Amino acid sequence: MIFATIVGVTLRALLGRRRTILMLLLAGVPVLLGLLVRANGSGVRDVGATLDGLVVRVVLPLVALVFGTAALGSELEDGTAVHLLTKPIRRSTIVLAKIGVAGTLTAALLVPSTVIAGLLLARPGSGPLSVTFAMAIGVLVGSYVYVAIFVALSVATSRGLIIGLGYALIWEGVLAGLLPGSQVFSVREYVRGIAAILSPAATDSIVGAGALLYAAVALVAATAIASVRLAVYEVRGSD
Amino acid sequence: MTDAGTTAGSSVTAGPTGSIYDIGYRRYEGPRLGRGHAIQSLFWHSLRSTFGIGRGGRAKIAPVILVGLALLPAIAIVGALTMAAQFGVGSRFATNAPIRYDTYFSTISTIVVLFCAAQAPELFGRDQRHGVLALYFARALRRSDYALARVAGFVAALLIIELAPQVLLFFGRVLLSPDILGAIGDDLPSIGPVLAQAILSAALLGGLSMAVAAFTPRRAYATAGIIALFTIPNIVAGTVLGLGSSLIGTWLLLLSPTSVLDGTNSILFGTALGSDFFFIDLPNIAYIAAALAGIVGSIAITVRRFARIAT
Amino acid sequence: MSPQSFAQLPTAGAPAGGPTAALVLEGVSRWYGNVVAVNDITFALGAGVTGLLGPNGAGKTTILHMLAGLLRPSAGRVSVAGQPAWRNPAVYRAVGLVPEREAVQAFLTGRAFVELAARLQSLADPAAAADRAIATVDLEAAADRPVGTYSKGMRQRVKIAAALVHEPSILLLDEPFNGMDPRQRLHMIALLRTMADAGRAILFSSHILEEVERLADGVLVIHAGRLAAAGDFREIRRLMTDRPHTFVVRSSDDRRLAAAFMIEPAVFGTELRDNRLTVRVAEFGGFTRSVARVARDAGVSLFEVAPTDDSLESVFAYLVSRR
Repeated sequence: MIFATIVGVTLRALLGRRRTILMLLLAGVPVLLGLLVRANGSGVRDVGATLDGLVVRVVLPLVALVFGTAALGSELEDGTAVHLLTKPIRRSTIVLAKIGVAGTLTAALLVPSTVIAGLLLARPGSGPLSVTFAMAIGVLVGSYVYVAIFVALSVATSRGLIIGLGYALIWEGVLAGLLPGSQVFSVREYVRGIAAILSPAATDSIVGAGALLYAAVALVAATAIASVRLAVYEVRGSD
Repeated sequence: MTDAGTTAGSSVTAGPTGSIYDIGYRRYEGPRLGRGHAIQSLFWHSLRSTFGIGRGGRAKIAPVILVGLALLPAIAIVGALTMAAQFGVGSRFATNAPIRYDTYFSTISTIVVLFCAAQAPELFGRDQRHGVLALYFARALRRSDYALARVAGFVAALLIIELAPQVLLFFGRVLLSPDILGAIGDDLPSIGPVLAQAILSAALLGGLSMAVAAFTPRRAYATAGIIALFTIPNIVAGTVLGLGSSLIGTWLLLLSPTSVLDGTNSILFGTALGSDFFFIDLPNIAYIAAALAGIVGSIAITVRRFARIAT
Repeated sequence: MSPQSFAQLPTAGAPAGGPTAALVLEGVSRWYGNVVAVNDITFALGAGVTGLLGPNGAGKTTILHMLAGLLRPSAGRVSVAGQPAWRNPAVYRAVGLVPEREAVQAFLTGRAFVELAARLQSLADPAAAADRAIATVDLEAAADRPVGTYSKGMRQRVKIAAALVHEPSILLLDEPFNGMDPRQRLHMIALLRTMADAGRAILFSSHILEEVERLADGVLVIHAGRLAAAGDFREIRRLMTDRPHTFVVRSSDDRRLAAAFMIEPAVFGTELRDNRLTVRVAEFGGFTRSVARVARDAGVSLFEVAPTDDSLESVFAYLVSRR
């Protein structure tokens, strides 16, 4: 199957040695934090807030950014994508495969990291682990949504990386805090909202129950945009 | 190399004469500007490239937007001061304004971090990507000169970003005050701390960003690495310290560049340390020492990297 | 040069037709802002080998990429195998492109790369097709090494193998002989010849005249984005009647013959140098008819009369210098 072939080739390309090690390190930071907290004896008061502050706000967008831009954007930049584009394959198939691989890799790294970190961070005997697992589910969905957005950005523009970063840091970091209404456009809020649905103690969120719907819409929209932009992608020569 | 100056087809006096002129390649025997000039040129080039000057329009978008955002709070405050002056409460507002010299660093720290993440990879990444390092090193420039000139250019750019809004703030406050000389006198003591903090932060953030950027030609890794370096230690330290005082927490705080710079900011301006520092019991000098260690260490790493890089 | 309306190029097998021809450009232009890369080009190609000849920057890659569906024409229509090339992935079943930039993932082996291309083409037996393609380009020995270890010529060949693996009826090659040594080049020329004779339409670009001369049935000369000439290059030469032709003559008495030639109206220059008599003639036909008579009347024996500049090089140089 063509889909499986693209998945295979993308997987090999994304799991280069350097990239894998660096992403493992990044995903290991929450676990490291958990270990440090354990070494101190007690747990944190608000596991949800800690996981939110570290994983959802920083580690998730960064890992998604690296995998998302490498999946398609870097191939377009260095020219190896031409071999993929000159085959009788629908552009949407290509985009879906790329998003699927990058998103799954991101989730595969960060969901275990979230769970382990949450277990380590929680105060011993503090009760059910619903907060941790709620956040993990949120991170799972967030992986795909972030990756889809970054893939779409990297196809649409060659400065996709910086725009993606600007989005994650400035838009989500600063503006969404200042303008509550704009949180509807913030993937971070979707993640928190999904976690809040599953476990209200996890985090408070403005988007609340609509988070799942917003996330789905964002995912579909990003995939569609990426497919269309790939279909009209032009490869100029030097001549 | 020419003949005695007659042109071909000249008058027939003592037989026809002619000359052939050598217009081919010539060696340059004049004065050469040497290593110092090369270093200077690379410095200015790095400074200009950081702002996208001398490159295409697209290269200017990110720097211009970020510089604008860095200036924004200062502009906003000056605007507010103008309004307050209209209503006659200028002086009270000036003293209690939410954005002052000592708070400006924390206000724009995110913008500065984003600027570092966006532009530092450009300075080192492009040379490595296109394999032109061999050309640089084949000049009077030494490897260490190359690294230092580039870092210096970037740090100078950061200095401009940090100081420009403060200057704007200064002029706004002074010119809008009813008593100009008095206002100058009030704000004068702040100039020293402002300069010192700006130099420390530019050197530390710049040095660390360039150290990360020096190790990879790919923009994505460098950018992600810089962001990770400036945001993650902060969060980790804050979480650990939130549990109470601890040795680990203290060390983590010193390993977090933004926290260290918050510390130096408070020390230089004589204001209280933030809530992150609640459980810390360090002498003031520790923050400055940590900042200096970071500056020296990052520059040393960068220089060593280019001393050993294969071209 | 007069505009071309469906310049018909000579073909090897089946004749090129009108709209059912394999590769058709109609009034195609492409510009980037104020820069016009390709300027109102029209041609139709069928089976056989055609060379796209032009200096660097003339627009060859732009034309090939438009034919390959990688660029949208700013004006005009591009048709490949009867369908538009742009936004039509299905056309790649019949088309193979060998791009110029050496962009292959370095960690794949040659065989893996070609097999990947076969899989992406939904071939029934990718491994067998890959083996055939690799054998065709004579890369068996190195097929199991990573592409990153290949020389430039080997990389070219592996790209050609990947483009051939689904046996397309149309093959587009951008500077395919770049980096090949003479033996590889001969091998490739023979291969492309065989494919063309079997009925495929092959278009390759080059700025090396000998390659085009040796391989192509017809040539499209591109300069500064315009189509300067199309067809068999000898025919093009013949069409340029306003350009002087040059002959080299060997005879029993060159100087006397030269003097006799200068009387002829068709001749406007003779040159005697290094024991060679070179005659420059304004009009091809008249001279060839009169040369024997002139020699006989002058009492000189002719040993050899040869045209010197019927080559593609002189054609090309002339066309390029006119602009």
